[in-house]
Amino acid sequence: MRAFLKEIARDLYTFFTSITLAIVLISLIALLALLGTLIPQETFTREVDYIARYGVEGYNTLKKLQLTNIFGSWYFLFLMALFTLNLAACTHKRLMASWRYWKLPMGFIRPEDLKRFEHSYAISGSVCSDASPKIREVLQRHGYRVREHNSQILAEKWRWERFGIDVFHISLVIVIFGGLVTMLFGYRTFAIAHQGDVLRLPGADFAVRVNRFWSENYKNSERVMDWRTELTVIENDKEILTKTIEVNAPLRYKGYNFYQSAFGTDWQGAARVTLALFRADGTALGEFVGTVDDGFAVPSENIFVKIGAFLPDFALTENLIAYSRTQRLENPAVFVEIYDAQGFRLMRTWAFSRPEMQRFWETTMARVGGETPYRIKLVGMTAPEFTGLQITKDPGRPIVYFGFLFVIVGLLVHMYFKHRQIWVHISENEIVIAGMVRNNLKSFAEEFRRLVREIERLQIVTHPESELVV
Amino acid sequence: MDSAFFFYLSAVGYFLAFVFYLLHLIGSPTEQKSGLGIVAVPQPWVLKQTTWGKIATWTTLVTVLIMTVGMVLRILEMHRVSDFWMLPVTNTYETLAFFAWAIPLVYLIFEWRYKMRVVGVFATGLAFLFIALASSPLLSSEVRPLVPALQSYWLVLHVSFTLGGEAFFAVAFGAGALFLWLQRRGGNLQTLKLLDNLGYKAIALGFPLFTLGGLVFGAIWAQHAWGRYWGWDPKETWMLITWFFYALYLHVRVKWGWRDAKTAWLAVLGFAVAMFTWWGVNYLLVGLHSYAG
Repeated sequence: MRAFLKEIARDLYTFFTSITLAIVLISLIALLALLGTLIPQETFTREVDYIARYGVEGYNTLKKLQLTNIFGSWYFLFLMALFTLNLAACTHKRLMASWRYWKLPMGFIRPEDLKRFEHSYAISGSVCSDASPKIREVLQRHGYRVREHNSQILAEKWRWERFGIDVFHISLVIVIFGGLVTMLFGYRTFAIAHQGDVLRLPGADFAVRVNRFWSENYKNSERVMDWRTELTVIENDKEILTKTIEVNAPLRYKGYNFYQSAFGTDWQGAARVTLALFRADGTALGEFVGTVDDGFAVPSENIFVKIGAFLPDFALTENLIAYSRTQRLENPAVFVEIYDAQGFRLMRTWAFSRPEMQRFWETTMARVGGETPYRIKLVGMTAPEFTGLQITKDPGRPIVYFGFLFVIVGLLVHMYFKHRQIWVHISENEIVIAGMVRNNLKSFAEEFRRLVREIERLQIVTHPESELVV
Repeated sequence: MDSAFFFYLSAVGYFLAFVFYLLHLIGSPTEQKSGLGIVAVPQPWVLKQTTWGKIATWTTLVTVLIMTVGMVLRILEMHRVSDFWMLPVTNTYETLAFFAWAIPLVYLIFEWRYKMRVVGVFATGLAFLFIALASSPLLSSEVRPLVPALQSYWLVLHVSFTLGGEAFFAVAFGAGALFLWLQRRGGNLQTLKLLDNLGYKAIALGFPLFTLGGLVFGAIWAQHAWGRYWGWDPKETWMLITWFFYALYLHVRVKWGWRDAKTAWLAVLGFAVAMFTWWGVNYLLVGLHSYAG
């Protein structure tokens, strides 16, 4: 039984450490990600926009296949999980190899083999008796750790750089892990706030009050320089601290972060509109003011006018659902219902401020639904400004930053340090110098040349003869 | 004189360098099918091939210096308008100029290390395309104050490192494309080997920069500005696809021992993916999303 389990474990390890698996997974993830950029994802797309684009049936199909939320779909998460396992397993395998390399000492190499190295040099002649300590000193001056073995000097530096790429891979796993922690235990919401609003957060023992917010322009310019919101943290009815946040400078308190992320006019939530009312025969009844989700009474007619919705940029989907194309005041429209004194609905309609839209709507409605008792025009609108706050709780943050730090460290080590080894074989009538480095580096070739020159200058070999003459 | 003037000037400079490098390339020796070894192709031009190469190198060097002056001026102009000390990487015009400055710079380092000038055609050609696009009437050279989201030094780190990495990828693209072309034309083996090695080194050096700029600094900036590291928006996603692609390149090269034509194709495709991340996402994909408001 144990042998069987061991075999399975070994098979799994082989499966997950395969570079082929990594390449297949990377390709699949990349393909799905590509699909996710071609189909708008639901995190930043509204239902009406989907229907406008794909139709009701197309949208339902996409939804069933989870294609509107690819990055949260089970198959994508499954691939990501496999990839993380794969990465972790490969990292483990590589790390073991690096560890074996680390443990493997430099050894004696016969001088005739040393001469076949790419970086190799021989000085012939009678060698002084104090050659060895002098050469060791030169090597040490260049940062080499030196050892001697059977009249051979073994020098090396930067052996640890082998772990650089392992640190990099481990850090990638750490970053993914930190992201996972944030995803599972974190929290993120977007809040629209007006002056004086108090924001309460689930699970937090404090509240945050929006004191005021404003936008600053560049000197002598219409362009926005920054948006700022002054926030006060309130805990147990006591004001703890007040801070003005701006874009790129959030408030952080007890693990929660408050980011300035939007600023604008709250048309859809709180527009205040002015409507002109007419009887069907054209008699003007005057202008009235009301806010969204509320309305006003017209005493002379004994009716109540309810303002159901305001859209700053009116448009219709193919199945005739009204929505706002943008949040700019491009084609403002208001949805109005009129009730009599008994609460019976007399009519409902859209009113527009663009005259051609108003005319189009009225003629269409007249053809479809016949006469209505009143006509309504949208003549004015205002809305309060709002500040948009992104509120997050991000427990994985230190893990992710730690991972990032070592991603950088690992890469730098891998790029700028290469394990360098030098052998110097000293015999009575010859000194053989040979060097080796991971990746054939130009800079090592230069260092090698410099070392050879310095050793020659020591004049430890008398009557030096060129190798060719011998 | 403002920065735009120097950028115009460098467009001219890069074009000249491109022509010189082209003359240098066309005049380079190829292996004839006769088996006689390396035979120089007859040259109808007045100057020797190596002379054209030297002129091209000097032209490129001078043009990069001219562009550097332009960049410094641009930094001063930006400071005058915005009160921020930033590198010119805050809009399409500036990033194009930055890229057109970085590619020949990176290329010159490789030319100096490898003592080989043929890739210059692509380096200066690309640089000319980008700076010409920036200087064209399609893009405004006006210095605008920074919108709030861009007032962060993480942005500078993010864009400059990402583009720096991509400049290396551009050089690798040039080496790859040239490899494929010369191979078909029967170029000499030593040049092909050098090109293969140069392309690999360019990607091996560019990848860390790209990782830092795109992945690390990008995520940190997103966290500062929007409160999340990663949101799978089209730009981020395509950056990840590009990153995966080059990671793939390095792994098939190191682990599977792919060389020559295979990796040359990957280097060419990789740059296409990188350029799509930049341009395709801005002008094709955002179109899909922008209607959402």
